[in-house]
Amino acid sequence: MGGCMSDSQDTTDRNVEREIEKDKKQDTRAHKLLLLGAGGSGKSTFFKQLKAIHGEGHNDREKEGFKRQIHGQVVESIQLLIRQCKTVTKDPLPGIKDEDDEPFGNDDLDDARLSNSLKVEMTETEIAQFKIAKEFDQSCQYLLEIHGSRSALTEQLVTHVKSLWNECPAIQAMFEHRNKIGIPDSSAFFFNDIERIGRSDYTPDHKDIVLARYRTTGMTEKEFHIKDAVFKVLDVGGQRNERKKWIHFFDGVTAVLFVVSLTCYDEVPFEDVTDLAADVTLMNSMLESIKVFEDTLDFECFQKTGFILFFNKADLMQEKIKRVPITNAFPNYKGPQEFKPSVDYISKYFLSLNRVPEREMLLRFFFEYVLFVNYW
Amino acid sequence: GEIVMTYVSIPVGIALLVLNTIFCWTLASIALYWLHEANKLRWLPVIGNRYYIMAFWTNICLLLASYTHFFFVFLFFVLFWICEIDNDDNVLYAIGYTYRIKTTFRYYNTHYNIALSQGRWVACLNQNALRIGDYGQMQWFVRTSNKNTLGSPTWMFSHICLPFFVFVLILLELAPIISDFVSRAASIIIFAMYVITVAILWMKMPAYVDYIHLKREERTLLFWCLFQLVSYIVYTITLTIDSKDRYFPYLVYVCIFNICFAMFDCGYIVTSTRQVLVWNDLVSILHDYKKARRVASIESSEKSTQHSLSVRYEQSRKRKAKILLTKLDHTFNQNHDQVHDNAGEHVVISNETAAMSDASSRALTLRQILSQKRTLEVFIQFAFGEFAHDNILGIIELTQFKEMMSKKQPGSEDRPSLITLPSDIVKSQIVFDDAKTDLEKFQMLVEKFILNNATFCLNIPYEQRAKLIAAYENRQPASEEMVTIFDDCIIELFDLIGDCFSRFRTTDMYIQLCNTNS
Repeated sequence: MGGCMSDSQDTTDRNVEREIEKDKKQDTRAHKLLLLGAGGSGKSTFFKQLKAIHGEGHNDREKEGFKRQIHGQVVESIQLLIRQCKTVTKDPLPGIKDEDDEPFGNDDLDDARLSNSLKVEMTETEIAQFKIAKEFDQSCQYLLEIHGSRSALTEQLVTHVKSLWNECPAIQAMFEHRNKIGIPDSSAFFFNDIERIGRSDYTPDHKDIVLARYRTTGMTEKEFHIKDAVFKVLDVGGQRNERKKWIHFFDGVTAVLFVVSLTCYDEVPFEDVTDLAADVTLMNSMLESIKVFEDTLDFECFQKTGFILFFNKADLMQEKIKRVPITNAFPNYKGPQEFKPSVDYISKYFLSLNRVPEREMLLRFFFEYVLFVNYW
Repeated sequence: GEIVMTYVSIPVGIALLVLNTIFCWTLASIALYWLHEANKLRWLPVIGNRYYIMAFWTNICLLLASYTHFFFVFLFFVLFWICEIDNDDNVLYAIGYTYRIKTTFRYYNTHYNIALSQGRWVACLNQNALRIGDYGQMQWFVRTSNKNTLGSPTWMFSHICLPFFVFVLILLELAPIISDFVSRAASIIIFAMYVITVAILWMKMPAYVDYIHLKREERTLLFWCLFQLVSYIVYTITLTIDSKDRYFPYLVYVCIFNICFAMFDCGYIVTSTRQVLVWNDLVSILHDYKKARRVASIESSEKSTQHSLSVRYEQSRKRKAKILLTKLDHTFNQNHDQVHDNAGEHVVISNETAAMSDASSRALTLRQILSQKRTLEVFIQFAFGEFAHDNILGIIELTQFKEMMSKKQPGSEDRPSLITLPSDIVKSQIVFDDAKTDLEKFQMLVEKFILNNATFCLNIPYEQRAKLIAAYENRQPASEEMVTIFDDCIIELFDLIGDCFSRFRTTDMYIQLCNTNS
């Protein structure tokens, strides 16, 4: 009798256990989320924020890596600014003018094209504002000679960058045109804080890490446990060559997180950056984003996949909209040059690209380091 | 008188037997306990990847042999007193047999994996490389015909192992008809042959791709097998010399050597269970889990046990990697400081610091990783997983081009190269083709890496791309420019791959490379 009792109890136990097991399995099954978007839209930034909030954060080793990335960004940006100033004003690059920088015969061709387009766009006085004064020659030469953007910031380097950034109007003027020459917005933040960043005991804080701009290559994958659910988030590179790799990650995706930078409607895509003569109405990252988004929507395997559209850099957009209208990328926009209607238009435009009505589309906005502010 | 000697000490004999049996059974019980513990974690890759099923049944056989053998020794001596019992040669033979098969498959699989990973990228640089040299030899392991025959456990068992096993078994069973000595000697020879094969396979097994301490396990098992071999040889010699039991009664010999055999059984099983757990830091996890379960007193199913154990395992693995890496970093920085510091502090260096500074010399930088063939190969494998391999392929091929050009350029040899590559890495098909001119090589490289529709289009800024494409279209870069033409590009790639490398540094593979790199 006793044996009988325990037997039936065992069976019930086992059944209950199986039920629980099943539920648990369903709950904890990992959701695969794919972060997509054009280059520089902020996929990795989003990934970094996820990691800081829902992951275990960034450890010292990773911070060391970010420190190097930030240093690299500073050096690279200042080099670009100097080089562009020199090109526009046709000022020979100090020291290394011949061999390393212009090794090809085609430079005449480049110059001709450049000066032609510049002549149309710029007057002499406009060009003159990019002229770096003689007193900075030494700094320019020092900075341009640095090879490999991974070098650590030395004291000397910090002084040079600081003097150029704070005292040289040409560099500041050139920075205003950063959208055309592919210099990230956050470089200004790092230039302003150059002394703190250049210290030998500097460790990047959360804001620094989020602002650091770095091109991702390939794919990174990380699991996040948020409440009971497991999310497997895939971060990928967004440049044109990186997009060719995307197809490998499309299997079994729960949702696509498509990141769009709101400010990119006057920025030249990284792959096209040349010089100031670039025409942002012909090619800008917003058009690129739209194209990428359309292509992504068209993929056969995504016909039933939910999309979450993240509009990034809303804080910068609020500033930029005062200076530049969104008609660069949306010529049909007739509304006022204000933040709210422009953003409304952009989001509606993106939503209208979806031709599969049953597909779930969500909209979210977030700011560079203010997280997940629900705009609606 | 001699015969009396044998029977005089009956109480002593019984005492000896009882003690002997208790000793042997204790050892066997310890082995049983660890077999059970290891069995709980069999689904973990560190256990599962060792041909666990085969190891498990070998261990069970050994255990059974231990228990029954000693049991029967005891029984026979008590009941029949002077009944002649033979130590079971066939058990010995079977152990050697399974051990060898296990090692063969591990050997095969390790090489198979290396060949697979090479197959993915070597052909990207040179399509002919997989047919010749080191890479060609590796391809043997991935050939379908070999994979289905010598590489397949089922095929090996049914076609080679089983027939051979039966054949040798019959031989060994027939051998005692001739003489006991012949039978024992045959056993020894066969067992010794197995041990030698295993030793050779073990030596040829590449340690740098062994993340689960397989080689270490093999080595310890090898030690135990040698121990068994030696004790069995001594046993055979002793019995042959003293075949009439002149010096000691047979019972005493059996008891003495039983201790050796029991130690072998126990040592063998404990090595493949407990030691494996210890090396992979699983004992503490099991311990913690049991403690937690006792506190919470949860009756849990096998699946939830598995789940919570695997979570614990993941956590501890991450913690371990973190600790090791911060240690490496710490000493790395310290060593840098020490260059400027005075030597005063060196006096108080503890053992720990010494060990750590030893470790720091092994912390590999990205440049070091790229400069050695095997480390570079492991890194490429990782980069493949992250879809960032195109960068490394670019670095290799463009650097080879640069080196090739600078060799032709007498003035530029003293220039430091940007990145040092291992000399024995696969040679690029494009760069090392003597039939092509430099310009053709340059054009082919641009077509491969730079053009917008290139197969391995690299993530480089427009400025560099435009510069290279312009040179490509104009077909006029002079040979002295060729040396430096890809420099910016290589530096850019080196920077790009840094992000991937920082993640590589947290993997088991990296730690293993650091540990085996000396």
